[in-house]
Amino acid sequence: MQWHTTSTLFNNPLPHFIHVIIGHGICGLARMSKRSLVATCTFTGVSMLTTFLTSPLRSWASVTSFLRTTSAPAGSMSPAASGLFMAACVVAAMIAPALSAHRLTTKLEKAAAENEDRKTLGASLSGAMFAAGLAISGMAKASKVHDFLCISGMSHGSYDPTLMVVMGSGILSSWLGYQYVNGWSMIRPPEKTLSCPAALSGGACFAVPTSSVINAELLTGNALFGVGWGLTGICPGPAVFAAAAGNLNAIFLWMPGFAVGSYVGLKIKESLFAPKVKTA
Amino acid sequence: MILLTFCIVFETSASEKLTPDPHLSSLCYDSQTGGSASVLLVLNGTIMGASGILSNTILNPFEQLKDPTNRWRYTYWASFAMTVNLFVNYLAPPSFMADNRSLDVDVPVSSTLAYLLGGFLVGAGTRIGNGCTTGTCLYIFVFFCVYVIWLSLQQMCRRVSSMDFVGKVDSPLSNLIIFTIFFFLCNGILLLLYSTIHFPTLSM
Repeated sequence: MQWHTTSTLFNNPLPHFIHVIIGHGICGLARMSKRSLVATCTFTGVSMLTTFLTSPLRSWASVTSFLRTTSAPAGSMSPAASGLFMAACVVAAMIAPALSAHRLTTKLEKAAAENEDRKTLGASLSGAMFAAGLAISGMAKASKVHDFLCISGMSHGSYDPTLMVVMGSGILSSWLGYQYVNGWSMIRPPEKTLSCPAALSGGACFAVPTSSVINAELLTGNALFGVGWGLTGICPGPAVFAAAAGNLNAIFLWMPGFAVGSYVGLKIKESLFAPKVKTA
Repeated sequence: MILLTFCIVFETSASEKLTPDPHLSSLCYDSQTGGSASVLLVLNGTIMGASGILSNTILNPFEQLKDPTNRWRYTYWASFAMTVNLFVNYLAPPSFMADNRSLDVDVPVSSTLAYLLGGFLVGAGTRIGNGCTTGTCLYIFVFFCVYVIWLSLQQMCRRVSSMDFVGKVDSPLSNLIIFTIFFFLCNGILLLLYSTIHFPTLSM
């Protein structure tokens, strides 16, 4: 058996030290959005646990072998499927305006629709940047995510804190964006921030979530997400990346699973976690 | 706006180095995902959550097609898919996209059942838990990491002078100075990592 020994990543103490600072120092602070902190720690912890339990290196690996396959990794890649997926997305995006045009009657609807048209630039720029970011950082590869989630990799040198570092390196870019949003800025005085998104005409506001409730819903949802993430190493962004790149497993297995799961999740949320209505 | 443009341009040019280097070095300069969240926020006013955008598109495709308020999601995925297609099939060398690490014994390759289960759980989890990781994680790191750095910087400045640092930030020049400081501070840590990996003799 050949063991893959990665680089000097953990032989060199300085990156390890910085990793500890970034990783634990961040999660150790309870600051503004506790809800997001709890959510992230929940799903990261659960996915690490799942990866640990399903790892082929464990002594009970034969029990979990139904979750693994010996065929080539990443399924089969098909450039044709990639082209078809892309074509489907582009066609949908192009015919969408034509399909909805006839339903606009009132002036208010027309103004709202115009605002939606203005969202096109931001959406397309953001989509392209996200894809590029996933591609270049290698986060689209399930093995990279696995190397981050599999803590037992620390003992034989394959642990890869890249995911944490990549998220950390998105700090400044994302933070710069928040400096322009009214109420969330740290360095810009309020009169210099935007109270309305830059591309939209007046009246629209930023949809930054302000909920700070930590409840069973949040924990359950994120725990489920963590298990799913630990099983495949794919979350929605990389999944669409894989689908667009032509990975047949992603298109025909993960996507339907996600669709069914989303539907079931919404139904569960409505029935189990419905807000309690006070009756007189 | 100038700062944002500068940031986007810098990130785009810095990510030109498409090396198949699996180390942190080539990843240090990638802030594209952060940039994309930031763009979506500042231009459109929405938090970037891939699961929300995806599940809304998948669950009710035909209703969403007719509804003008969700049109931008189709545009988002269309541009995403086009970029991926362009990158994977034309721009990137095959060695860059090859997932050789998955061939190793200790990395599990998911079976059909795992893909189905994984997709199901991720879908259910994101709908119950109100959202996905993309926006959430960056949202956290935005505030926590930078808040810490900002606090310590503020403390340092308070000790140096008794003037309130925050109150002085009201001119383009001081904005630029602060931007430069933070930019090189954040990327400086990563540069340090890069150099310690590639020049190990220097770190000791």
